[in-house]
Amino acid sequence: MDMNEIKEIFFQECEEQLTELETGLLAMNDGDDDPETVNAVFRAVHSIKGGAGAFGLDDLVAFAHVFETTLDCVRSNKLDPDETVMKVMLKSADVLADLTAAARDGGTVDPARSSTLAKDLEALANGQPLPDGDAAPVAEAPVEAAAPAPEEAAPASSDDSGFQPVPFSFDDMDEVAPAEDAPADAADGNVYTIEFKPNAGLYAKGNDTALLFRDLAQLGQMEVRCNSEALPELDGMDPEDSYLTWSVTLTTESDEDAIRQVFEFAEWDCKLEVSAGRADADDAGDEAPMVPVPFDLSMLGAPEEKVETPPTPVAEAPVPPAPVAPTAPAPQAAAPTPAPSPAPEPAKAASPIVKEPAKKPKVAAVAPAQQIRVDLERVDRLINLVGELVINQAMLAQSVGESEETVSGQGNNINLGLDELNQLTREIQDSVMAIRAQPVKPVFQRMSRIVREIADMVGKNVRLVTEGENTEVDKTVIDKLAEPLTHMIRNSVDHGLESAEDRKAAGKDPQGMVKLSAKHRSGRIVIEIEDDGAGINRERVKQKAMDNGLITAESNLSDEEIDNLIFHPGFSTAEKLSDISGRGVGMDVVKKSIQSLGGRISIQSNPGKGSIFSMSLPLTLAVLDGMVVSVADQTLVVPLTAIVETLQPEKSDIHGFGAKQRLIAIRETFCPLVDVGEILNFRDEPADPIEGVALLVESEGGGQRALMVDAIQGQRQVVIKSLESNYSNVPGIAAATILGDGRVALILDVDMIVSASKGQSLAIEELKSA
Amino acid sequence: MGDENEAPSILKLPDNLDLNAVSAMHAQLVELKGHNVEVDAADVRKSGAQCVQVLLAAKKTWDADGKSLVIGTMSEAFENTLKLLGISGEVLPSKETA
Repeated sequence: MDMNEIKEIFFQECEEQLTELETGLLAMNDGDDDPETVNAVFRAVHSIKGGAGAFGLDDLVAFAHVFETTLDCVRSNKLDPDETVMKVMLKSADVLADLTAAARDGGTVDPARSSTLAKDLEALANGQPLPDGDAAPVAEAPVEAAAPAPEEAAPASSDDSGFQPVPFSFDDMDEVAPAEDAPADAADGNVYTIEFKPNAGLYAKGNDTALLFRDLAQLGQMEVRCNSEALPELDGMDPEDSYLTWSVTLTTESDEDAIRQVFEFAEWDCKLEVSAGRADADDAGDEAPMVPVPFDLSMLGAPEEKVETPPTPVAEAPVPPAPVAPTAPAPQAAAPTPAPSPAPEPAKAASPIVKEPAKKPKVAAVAPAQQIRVDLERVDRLINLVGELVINQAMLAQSVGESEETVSGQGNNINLGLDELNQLTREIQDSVMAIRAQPVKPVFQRMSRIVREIADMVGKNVRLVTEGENTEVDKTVIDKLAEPLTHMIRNSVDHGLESAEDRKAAGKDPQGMVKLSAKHRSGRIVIEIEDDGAGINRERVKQKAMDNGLITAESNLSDEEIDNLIFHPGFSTAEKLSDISGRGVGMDVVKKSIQSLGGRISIQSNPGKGSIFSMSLPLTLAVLDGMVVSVADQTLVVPLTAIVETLQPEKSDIHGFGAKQRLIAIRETFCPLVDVGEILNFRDEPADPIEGVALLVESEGGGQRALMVDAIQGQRQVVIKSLESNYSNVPGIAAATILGDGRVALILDVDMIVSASKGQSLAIEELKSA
Repeated sequence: MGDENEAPSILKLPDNLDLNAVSAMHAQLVELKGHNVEVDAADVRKSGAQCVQVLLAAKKTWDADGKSLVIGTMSEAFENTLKLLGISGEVLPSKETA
């Protein structure tokens, strides 16, 4: 694994950490005061910083450092996470995401933006008013706690970490760390022993034990023992190899996960053992030449404070040279270096403030589900292969079916085997698809940023509510969701919601609400964007459509039809092109991108109360369960999810309606009968319904239709092959597939067929002539 | 131990003791074998574990040869790295303690 691959993994993990960060911050913003939430947020920033440090991404490290310090103030209850603080935090999360993206993709982030935020963060951490004049929402205590900060701030020299000097360093942490709080920490904290054996690869990839330990030190109090037993003499060594190993005793309030996280970018290149408790004294004795060195955080951020400390703490107890001698436990004990237990140092008795350790519960480490990272291409290859397997299995089944008579003696066994194969194939396929299924959460979270930014831009106060963000859908679908969602969210905030004044005038909460929800419904995922704005102004839409020549004044359109006009290419009701939604991308583009995913979009609008945009998408773009039917000597596949029931029409059930329409009586109701062959132009004359089969289908927009086909061949899982990428878009056809006999069959787009039967798919075009 | 009479050779460490500096530092120390050495770490701004490792190996060699190897002045960054890595003055003595 080379450096680039490791970096790639780092950025992938950054994505996850940023998601965690955003989740936590949003929860805090909604009033979640669980200390574990703050801890999770802190850890996320900390991990990003740690990894970024290893790769020398200085901008990212510097910003993460400031961010982390402020978060630590929140974590230690020095800073109350009120609205102002959360606003800065959320914006900081955005900047951190931008900096990460810039580090990955090579772009730049507006330095003014990040430095302004860094200043805000610093001010918050130091209990000062925000530079722009906002009152610093700091609790009384922290002001005192942070008071010494300004003097100590400046000198944080760039040390071996590659840190940019940041004006206020770890002062706040110092308060918590070794000094007066140490006894409490020692009593309350968990003690872990970390055995760390790096190999040469770790260094070759730019990592370093010193960097890792630096991060480790931030988790608590640390004693480090270095074992140089394996170290050869100068001549016999490869300077780039790794001979030293370490044993670290860490007293921390964090859990084992947090410790492992520090080493997560190094885990392939080291042996790491983390165990609860202190290593036995006997063990320590075995490593006689290793002298435990107490470590406190203050030497990181504000080393100047410690200058009085002599270069080494063993001045009065010089040890005879030959430190390698394995028998020297006695001098060790006598040495003035503090004993392994974190003895409280009286040095920094400055702050009288006692934090509430009780507020930081030790969270029992929840064993995370084991995970591996797999290149998406490999999964895709597997999915393709499974697709071929499904086709092959279908072919085999068909061959066996055809030759059943000839092998009648063994037919039962073969069929049994075939059934098992069928079931296995299905299970393999489900498992493979599950690999690709991912929650929509990351996309939803991106939307919360979009809402924040747009709301800021247009000066509206907007709250984004998300629901069902753990709903899973195929990764290909997720990847393509972000763009249409972004546009629709922008639209909702920019056009959907009224200004605060208008909302007040209308008796609404001045804060607008946009709700983003996801759920599974009949084998599809339905994503809704709901706002509590003014709803679609139908008069304006109609007027605009008339101005654009889309409809005539005489057109008699239903509300639904008017609403759907906004999906017409080039239609925009914005009076002037705003910076936000009027980018030449209209709702028609949104509709197209949803359609290209095999999805559909619909609107429900309620004047004065708001609108709901509803998208229905397939869970996967790879396979579907279909009913194989014949229509005018063609084989078609109808998605099973759309079919409610199948009927063999009786003559008495069929009724004429108007000039050409026919209805079928199903129990107590009448349902329009749609001849699929005719609507697809497979035949000119309608077929006789009595000789065919009716499939009762339900379309996304609601409403049932009976689709008439000639015969049902069977039910089968088919592998979807895109018609668009292999041929071109065909109205009424969603995709194609390969059947067991090797022939291509078209997959019906039921909704399109239903719409066409209502004359709706061509509604926009037809309206013009209406 | 060590030949107290011999004036130590000074090995001036560069400011960046990362992976790229380790081989050069090793070579310089091999050159100095057999002499008392005082390592000047005053300018070290950044140091990694491998350079410290080379110093420890050198110290081991020097001890075996009955020569002295001490750290003269050291920057705070260097001192911090030594602390972080658990290297006490006992293992790698400074000029004052040697």
